[in-house]
Amino acid sequence: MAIFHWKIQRISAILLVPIIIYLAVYLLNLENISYSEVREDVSSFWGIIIISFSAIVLYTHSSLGIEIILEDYIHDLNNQRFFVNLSKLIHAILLGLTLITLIIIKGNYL
Amino acid sequence: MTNLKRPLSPHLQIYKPQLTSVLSITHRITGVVLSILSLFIPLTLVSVALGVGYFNILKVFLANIFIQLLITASIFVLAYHLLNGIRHLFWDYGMGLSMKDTYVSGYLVLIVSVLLTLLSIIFFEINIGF
Repeated sequence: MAIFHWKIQRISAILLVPIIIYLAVYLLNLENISYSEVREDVSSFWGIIIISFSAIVLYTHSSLGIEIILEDYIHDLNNQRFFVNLSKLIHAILLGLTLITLIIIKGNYL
Repeated sequence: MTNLKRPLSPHLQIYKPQLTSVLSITHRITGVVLSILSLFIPLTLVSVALGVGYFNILKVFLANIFIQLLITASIFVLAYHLLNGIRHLFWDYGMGLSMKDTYVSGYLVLIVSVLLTLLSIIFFEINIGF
């Protein structure tokens, strides 16, 4: 399990290198992009693919990273389990919110 | 074995800080900060879903000088975690593990992170007050 955890953390890290550069540049340039352009980008075929894939990889990487930190610094096993599960739940909610919002935007745009 | 109150490693409060250990804990801290900043992705999407009014509110919020300063700090945090993450991946393949290489790559990560932050301020015209 630990090896699987380690591998997923590394694979998601490698995938995140191009993804995060692209997302950061897009978000930093948001000021110069109009609402209709953003909406068009987000609801395009490639927009949906890139954002969904990015969100899955990003929140997986983030969840695994936070889990390791919680395991290292929370010594009480019951507390540790509670906070690890809480972290997983928050990450799942953020991923779900991202995907649901994408569906809503696409639905409104049709 | 049953003493769960024992101190666990990493013993941050015991060791004298060195570049390697400071960069290592900074990698974790920047990771936590980036996890919090990842909220911005669904937040942006929600503002787009709610309509042009909410999207413009987000734009006004982002144009605030304090937020622009936070954005600048976030760029450094992202650049650092990204570059140090690449450093970790090289280590995973057994490269750059000598003491000298570790220090050289550590300084390199810091210098390039600062340079990327400065370049971003210029390129994206971030208003940091001067």
